[in-house]
Amino acid sequence: MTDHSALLASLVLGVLGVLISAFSLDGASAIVRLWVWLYTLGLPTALRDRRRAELASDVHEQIADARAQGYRPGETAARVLWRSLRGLHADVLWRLDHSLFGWSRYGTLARTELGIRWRVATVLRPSMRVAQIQVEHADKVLADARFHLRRIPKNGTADDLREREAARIAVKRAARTAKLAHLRLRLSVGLICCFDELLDEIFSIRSSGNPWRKTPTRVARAEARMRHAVSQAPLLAGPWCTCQVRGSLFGRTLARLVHGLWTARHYLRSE
Amino acid sequence: MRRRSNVLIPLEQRVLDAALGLRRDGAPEFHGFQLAKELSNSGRGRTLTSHGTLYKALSRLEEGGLLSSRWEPAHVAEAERRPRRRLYSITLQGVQALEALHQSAPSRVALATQGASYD
Repeated sequence: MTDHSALLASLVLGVLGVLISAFSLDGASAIVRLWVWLYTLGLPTALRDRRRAELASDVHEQIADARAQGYRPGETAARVLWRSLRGLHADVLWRLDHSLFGWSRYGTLARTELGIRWRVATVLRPSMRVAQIQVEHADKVLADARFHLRRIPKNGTADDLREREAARIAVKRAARTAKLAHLRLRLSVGLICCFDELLDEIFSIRSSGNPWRKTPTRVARAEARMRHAVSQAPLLAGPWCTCQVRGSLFGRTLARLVHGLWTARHYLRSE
Repeated sequence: MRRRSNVLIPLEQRVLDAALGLRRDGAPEFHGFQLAKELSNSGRGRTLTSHGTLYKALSRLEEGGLLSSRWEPAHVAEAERRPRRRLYSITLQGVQALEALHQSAPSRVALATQGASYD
């Protein structure tokens, strides 16, 4: 570093120190974290979380180190900010490297994921709409049949009784049809949820590096998901609970599938 | 213009040198700030390498297989009441790449490791 740039750096540090002393260390730390939060927006979750956590740790270490060396809070805050400021261009370049339209593998992955989602949505949307129309129609037929049944007097003439019997059979048929239509829709939603979860899983694994590496975080996350899924799906409990699925793609996928089905069921019940 | 993927820039060489130095000193794993300090101590200036520059270099070296990394166990960070550190270590491939580099261009590497500023 030349004398001029060193002088400039000292001047900037001094000015920043005065400005930042009002904010103190927490302010500087928050500004850096805000910047990291901003430029990591829209990245794959694993990559984004890693960068944010890593920078949070780095800033914490720098502050602790400065404290140990006896720097004043204002000066330390300025140093933290200055260090972040000097790397802004690298942050922006790194972000562009990982942007949706960038050339990195993350960009490619994101494009592939979007492409798959779009194609699947295009294919599934009409069938989902058909299933929805069938459900609506079946519900309407059932409601009409029930309404008709209620209108026939219970203790009427022989004709009324015959008509009532026919109406009861019609209600039973309509109920069966409605049940089947609901089941079809539920299965479709379940499949879509599973597909969505599976895609999420595959891309989050691929974007975070080696999918077969069994890191403690991944194992813990997979176990938590499995526990959650099994606890929410009592019908599937039992032998499934004893599956040893520590960190395997199979286990995670299984957990996602169960969870997806359960979500679909819950969603349809609440509708 | 994009850099060729198999070419190490001076900062990346310095990072590998520092990683190897830390390993020789009995610290096979290091975190980002520790590396920034090591680079600052080994260089002429006392300025810490900026966040953006440092982590960009680290991620590139990791993608190239010259460094590997892992999160430290959560209980260690919790016991010391600080955020978890990402711990890096130089791989065998990294050591070999550095050795090959030192053999092929000793003067250039020496210049790079003597503390030119790449902030």
